[in-house]
Amino acid sequence: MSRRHKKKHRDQGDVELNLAAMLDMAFQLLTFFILTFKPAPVEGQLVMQLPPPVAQTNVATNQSSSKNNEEPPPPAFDVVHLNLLSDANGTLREIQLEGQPVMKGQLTDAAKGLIKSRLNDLFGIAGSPYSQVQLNIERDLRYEEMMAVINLCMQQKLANGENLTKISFSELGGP
Amino acid sequence: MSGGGNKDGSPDLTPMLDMVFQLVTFFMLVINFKAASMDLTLKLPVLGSARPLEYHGETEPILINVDNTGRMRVYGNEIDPETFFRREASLLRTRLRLEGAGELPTPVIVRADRGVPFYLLNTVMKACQDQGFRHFALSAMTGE
Repeated sequence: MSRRHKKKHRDQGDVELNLAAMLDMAFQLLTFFILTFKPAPVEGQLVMQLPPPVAQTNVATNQSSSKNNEEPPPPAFDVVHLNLLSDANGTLREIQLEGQPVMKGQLTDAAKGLIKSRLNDLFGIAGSPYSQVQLNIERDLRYEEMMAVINLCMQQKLANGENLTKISFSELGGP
Repeated sequence: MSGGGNKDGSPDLTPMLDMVFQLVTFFMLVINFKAASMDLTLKLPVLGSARPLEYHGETEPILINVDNTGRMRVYGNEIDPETFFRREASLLRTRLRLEGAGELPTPVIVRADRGVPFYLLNTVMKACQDQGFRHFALSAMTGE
């Protein structure tokens, strides 16, 4: 009696794929990305242009921020000078515009409005020669206090409609 | 009607693999390598009008972190600003083939703690100015 050997044929549609290894690798990747996930803080910047390192002379006090004992350069007529004075804790106590006190005490909303209006009187009028601000700051003034004033300056528009971006800094009473 | 498993009783891993790939894709898209350059212990001042810097130049902005104690760090390494900016300016001038001591196009971003006194920031700004870095940005949080 012959036996027909029946060959076992695999069904054409039967393809076995072992997903366990792939799943394992995928979990490895997922673990890596979860562990390295660090949400970045929401930060912004105040962007400004620093002038070249040329000493600016304060017209009102005739002080120069020049380092060497050279003759101070002639006063720059397109620069508005703001003096920021601080107390021992680094809190803003007074703001002077061209040597004249504009605000004393905390920088309240009313004080901000006043400073904006005074700056606008200088920068915003047609034909105004002013295009930059020099901030003369006492050494202990805190960064957050300084930023509030810089923010006010950068909200100014020049006579040509552009935003004020040229800001220079010097230390009051420093070299 | 067959369920979610195979004929021999082993579970069907396809949907799970699909979900895992979805999650991997999500985390790959949101991964942020720039956080490595930021000192996240600093408490920045809050300014609603601060906007993220838009810069698409050839070189990456230089980000410097200043803490309350006066330490200045770039990518976690403490630096002396004058030495650091002198070296960076020299490297940039070589790389960008700039001659002379003209203005450098690379912006400098300063992230300082809100209590940092001005004289510390002034050393950074003076070092930038002296080496030709004119584009400058001061960081602040947009909200608390």
